[in-house]
Order: sequence, then C-alpha cells, then structure tokens
Amino acid sequence: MLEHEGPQVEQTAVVSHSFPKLLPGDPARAYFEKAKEAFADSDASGTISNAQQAIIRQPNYLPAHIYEELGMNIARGRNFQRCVDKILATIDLSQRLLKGQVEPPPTESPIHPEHINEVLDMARYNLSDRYMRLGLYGNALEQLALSEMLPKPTEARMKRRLKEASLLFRLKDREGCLLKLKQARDMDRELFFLLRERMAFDGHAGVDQPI
Amino acid sequence: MKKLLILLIVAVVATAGFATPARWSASALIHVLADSEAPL
Repeated sequence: MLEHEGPQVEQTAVVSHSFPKLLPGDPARAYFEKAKEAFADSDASGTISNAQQAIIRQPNYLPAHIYEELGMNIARGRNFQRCVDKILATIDLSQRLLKGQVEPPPTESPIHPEHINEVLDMARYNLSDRYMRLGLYGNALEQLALSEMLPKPTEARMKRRLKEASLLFRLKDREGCLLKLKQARDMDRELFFLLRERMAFDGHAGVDQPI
Repeated sequence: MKKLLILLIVAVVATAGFATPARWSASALIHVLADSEAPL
C-alpha cells in the first residue's frame, strides 16, 4: 500500500512520439491541447476535465485517455485503484483499435499500429507504477515486462530497469535486483546515478544500494 | 546532453530543498523523469 512507499513525487516523462494529431478543426483537438497545458501546469482538475471533453467528442483518441489518468494521478486525494481501472480501460481500447473493432478518430495522418503500440507501452509503464503504489509488486513487474513492445531511448530503458530492480527488491529477489541495477548502470553511468537518486526519492526502494 | 543538464538542475534543486512534491508536479522539469509517461 501507499504507506509502504517512500515520499512520492510526480515525475512524468513526455516521450517523443508521433501519435497523429486530431484534425485542426476538430473541437476535441482544442480540448486535448488544453488538457496537456493543464497537466504541464500541474492542474489536475483542468487536465481531467479537458481530457474528458476531448473524449466526449472523440472517444477513441487514445492520448486523451492517457492524460485523463495523468490528471487523476496528480489530483489531491488520488485513488490509485481508480487510476488502475482507467489505464486498464485505455489498454482495452488500444487493443480494440489494433483489432479494428472500433473506428480510429479522424487525424492529420493515418494511425498505424506502432502509434497505438507506443501508447500501449506508456499505458503499461504507468500501470506498473500505479500497481507499485498499491503494493501489487508482482502485477507491476508483469506490466513493466509488457511495456517495451517498441524500441526505447536509453532513458526510457533505464527507468524500466530501475523500476524492475526496485520491484525485485520488494519481492526479496536480491540477486535479480542487483542484476537489473547493473544493466541500468551499464547503459550510461552518469545518467544512472542521477536517475536512481531521483527514483529512490520517489519511493523506489532498493535502487540506491551499492553495486 | 540537454537531458543530462536538466537532470542535473533537478538534482541540485531537490538537494537545495526547494522542491516540495507539489512543486515537482508543477515543474516543467517533471518531463525529464519518471513515474509516468505521456504522449506529446
């Protein structure tokens, strides 16, 4: 549970990707842009309400669903179980889009499977984090393993190794934890020491042990 | 290098004690790190 975690700070990596934008005249686009701005300002209610307005107008626009949950995650009195439920619904929508069971929204360029898979990777990474906050370390580890369908830049891969290390530490797998820490360190030592310090501060137990 | 520089600034600010959890939420620097990911 949350009580088991260290102090949590909100840290969100906006990953460069190319999910197609909604059409310029689409009212949902303006709401989505407002949701992103609100999130950058740490305005939870603004993020949620604007994302929801975008979703009302374009229910299948995946990025809006991601931002709605991010708003929920930074809200006062946040409920991690509700965050989990929202992400699971977003993952379900992603999978239905991939199977062609629902229509993609009209966008500036076609939405390809890799666009959806990239959002799926983000959703699973976020889901892993919310499970961790709930103390569901096995579930978190499972989602983390699923969050690398597409190649990632060094920082994104390192974050995943560090989070894995922490989850293994929670699960009393010390050897596995150390292995993941070494893998992370070998990617880029300078970035590793900075990132693990931040993640340790953010409740990722075990990442700051000596290796 | 740019990311590393921003990370360094984050670490310095945190060490200096200017960053409360709420402040981290508000900061554009949150985009460097790590409890969530989001599309641009």
